[in-house]
Amino acid sequence: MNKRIKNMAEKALAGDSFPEPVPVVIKDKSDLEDPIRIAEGLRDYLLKQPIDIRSNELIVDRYRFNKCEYPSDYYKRAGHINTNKAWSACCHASAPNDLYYWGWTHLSLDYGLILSQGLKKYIENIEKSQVEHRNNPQKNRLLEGMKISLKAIQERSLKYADKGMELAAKTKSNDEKNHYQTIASHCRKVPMYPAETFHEAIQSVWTMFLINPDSLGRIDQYLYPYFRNETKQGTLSEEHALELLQELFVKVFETQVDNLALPISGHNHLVVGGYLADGSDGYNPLSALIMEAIADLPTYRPQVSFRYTSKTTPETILYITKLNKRCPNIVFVNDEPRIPGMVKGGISYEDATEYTVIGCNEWAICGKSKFDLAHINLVHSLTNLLFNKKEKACSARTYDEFYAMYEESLRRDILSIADDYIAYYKEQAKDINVLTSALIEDCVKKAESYTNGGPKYHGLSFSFNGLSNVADSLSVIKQFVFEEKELKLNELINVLEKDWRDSESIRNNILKNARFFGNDDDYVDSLAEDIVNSIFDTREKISHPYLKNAFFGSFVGATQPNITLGKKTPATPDGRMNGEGFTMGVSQSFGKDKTGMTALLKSISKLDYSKFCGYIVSNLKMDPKMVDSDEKMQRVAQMFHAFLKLGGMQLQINYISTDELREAQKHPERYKNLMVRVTGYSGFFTAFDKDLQEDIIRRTEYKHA
Amino acid sequence: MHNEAIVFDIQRSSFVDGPGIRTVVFVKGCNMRCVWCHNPESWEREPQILYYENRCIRCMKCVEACPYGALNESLYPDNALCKRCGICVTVCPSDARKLCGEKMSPQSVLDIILKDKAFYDVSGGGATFSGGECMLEPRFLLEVLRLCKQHNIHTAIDTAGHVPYEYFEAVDPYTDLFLYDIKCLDPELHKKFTGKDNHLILENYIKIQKKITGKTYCADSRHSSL
Repeated sequence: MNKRIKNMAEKALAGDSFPEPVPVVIKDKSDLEDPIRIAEGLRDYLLKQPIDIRSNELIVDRYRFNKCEYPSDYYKRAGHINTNKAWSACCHASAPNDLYYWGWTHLSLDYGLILSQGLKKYIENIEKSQVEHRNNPQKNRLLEGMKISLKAIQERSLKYADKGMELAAKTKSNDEKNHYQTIASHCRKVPMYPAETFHEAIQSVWTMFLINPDSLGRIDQYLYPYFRNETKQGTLSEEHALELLQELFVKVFETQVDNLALPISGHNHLVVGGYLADGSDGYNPLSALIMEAIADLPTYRPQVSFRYTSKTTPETILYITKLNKRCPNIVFVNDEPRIPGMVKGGISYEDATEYTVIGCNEWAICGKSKFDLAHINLVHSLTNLLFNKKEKACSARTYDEFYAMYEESLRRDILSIADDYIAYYKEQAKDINVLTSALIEDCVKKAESYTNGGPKYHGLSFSFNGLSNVADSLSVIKQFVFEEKELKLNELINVLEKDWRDSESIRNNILKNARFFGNDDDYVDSLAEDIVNSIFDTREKISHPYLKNAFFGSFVGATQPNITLGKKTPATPDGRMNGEGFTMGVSQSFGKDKTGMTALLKSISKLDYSKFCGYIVSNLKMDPKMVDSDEKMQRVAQMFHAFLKLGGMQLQINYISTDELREAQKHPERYKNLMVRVTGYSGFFTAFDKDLQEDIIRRTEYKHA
Repeated sequence: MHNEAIVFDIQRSSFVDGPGIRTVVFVKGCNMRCVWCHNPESWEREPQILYYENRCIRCMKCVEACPYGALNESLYPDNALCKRCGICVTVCPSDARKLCGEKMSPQSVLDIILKDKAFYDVSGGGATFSGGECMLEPRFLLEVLRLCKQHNIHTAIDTAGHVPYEYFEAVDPYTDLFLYDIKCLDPELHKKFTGKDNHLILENYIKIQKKITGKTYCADSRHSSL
């Protein structure tokens, strides 16, 4: 990175550089019922925010919607009163039960369309839709509101253009004059009109990112035509492209400095590589440059998910592995099981190829989807059976009978969440969203708000926490209760009720002799597969117009559901104590995986991810000594390649030793810059709370090879 | 079965014992006694009970449980009485005891090797047979190598070479690589530090170089002039 970018990044790390927002308050509560008045409120807000051009920046604008009382971008939910009310009633801090709580809703814009057609095209489509719906005044007002809000984006850009010209007129330096004139000409053109150069495209993306500061989507695809043509013609050097990208990424980093006490980075993701609609692999020279740009920066956003396909070359995997060693922001995801899974879930193949990873390890179809999220306690269905239906559970004569009871309990839990979702959805639907809806193709076509069934794809993603805890617990029950008959089920439950007190020998025996997930042992891995199948089989029972698309997975977001839900859950047969956190996603456990890395990766890859194609995280923690030579680095890359070929869905690696993490806990002042991967985000280890630090430390460490 | 061997460890995902990602099979029993040996539990050709004093909580459960009276308060087994039944390992709550060595058939070893086939295929890896001295179990070795080749798995033998030359000829058709570990060229020093004369080792090495070309990899390149 050059000096300018380095300074910019250091400033960003030091804190917020956004100007103080100028608030806009709702004049009359009835404004919220009228899309046009909402749009006017938004316009007012957009035009009131300071115009801020700094002499050292190549792309401009900087504001947030957080002081806007009118419903603005749906992702940040500013002004979305009903959504916020419904969400708060069952969020991580206030979940009324120990079964689930609502997660975040993420959405990514269709940047490709914005660049190639401009907002102009969106406005044309709105006008077409207005003709279509001319007899429906309500829909017409919504469309009118959409149009006003898109035009307001242009109005704001034009203010920048004027300001640029003004600064150009004032300065005596020719360089500065050129600089401001360039900014002015870009802001006069984009995002209303198609971007014609790489630089204009970056400005356009940034302007629109501020409207919806979430995933940047398939950035290596939508920027590639500009990059390819201009580097070929010699009008764009790789250095300059890198600099522009890095400026964009540093700015993206800055957008989230304000809103979370957690030093996390999941909110800004992007993807590179992956299948294109014609079935070819989209990985290109710009994909590599983008990862390079991010790996070079000291900031911990955005996150990159590299989309693997069966066409990915070993060289690419090695290249990424090397970058990943110095930058934990890069992870592997696998298109091979995911795209067929999305298709099974009702997404067209062409749209499925257009997915981006978003937030932590969630995904979205750019410009086409709204997926809500439930963080679910998978262990609940088991402990509920063991503790609250003890007599019934103990009546099982065989393991299969016991599993059928568990499956029934699980099914009931899933369906109850689906029922709750309907109420959640209805509440959200009361919010009228004009700004996000204007940028979602189907909202325009149907003249429906984003929150009210507008998007082509909408529904819920079910994320199950504690998959390996349940698989391991079932394995213990199967082995010790039903096969070896060392323990009666009611004895085991009694021990769990007492949180293993005075039963140390039973617990030790289980920890030592049970067969646990992560060791490439079909005995227990097949139980994990059974759970996934049982979950998937409930899908047909949860069809509802609001729940058009349902996906299943296991991942962890910023609210740490594995820890949060673990705290509410009693002791489990796998040796877990009362209140202890669950294993994160489909991952290594806390020391139970002891057969080597290939065995762990095999276990993880055995699940059918076309059924479990929702949000997935798989962690691996390795001592950096395992990659201390080129040869070892190559082996590790090959190991990941084999994992992906086997159908593993996601993989993220921390190259750090447990000893070093302990040292960092003891001497945080010496480890201020120690960046680690948590789940769909990374951040500075010493800034995490103790629970989260311990979660990372307890992950099995792979040391020898 | 006559072709079984005592295996004391099978290590998956090894990056250092030959090309690619490998599974290493450690066969128990060795005819050398190198003073620097990092796994002396591999010397004896039969299972052994290992005792980790640092993990022991001195609960004495093993002493009570031992049916042969091979354990007393010192907690180190009396090898004359110990029948390697492993009961003390089962009852130990703190993992302070481990049964080192298990009789395994070539097929059961292959089953474990096959688990990482996908990783060998990507990396050009395979199975490495080590020890102890794996060449002291020629029948086991021959059979497991043959099975590996049936499954197209790259094979390597890690040997110190102190075995009859015929053994090399026998395994050669099923072996892709010999990791031939010459400990020391000086005969006297060799004897002093390993307990064995190196005459046979060097003789075997020269024969292999002449007859089994293109396969040998010597652990120390200084000896490649041999």
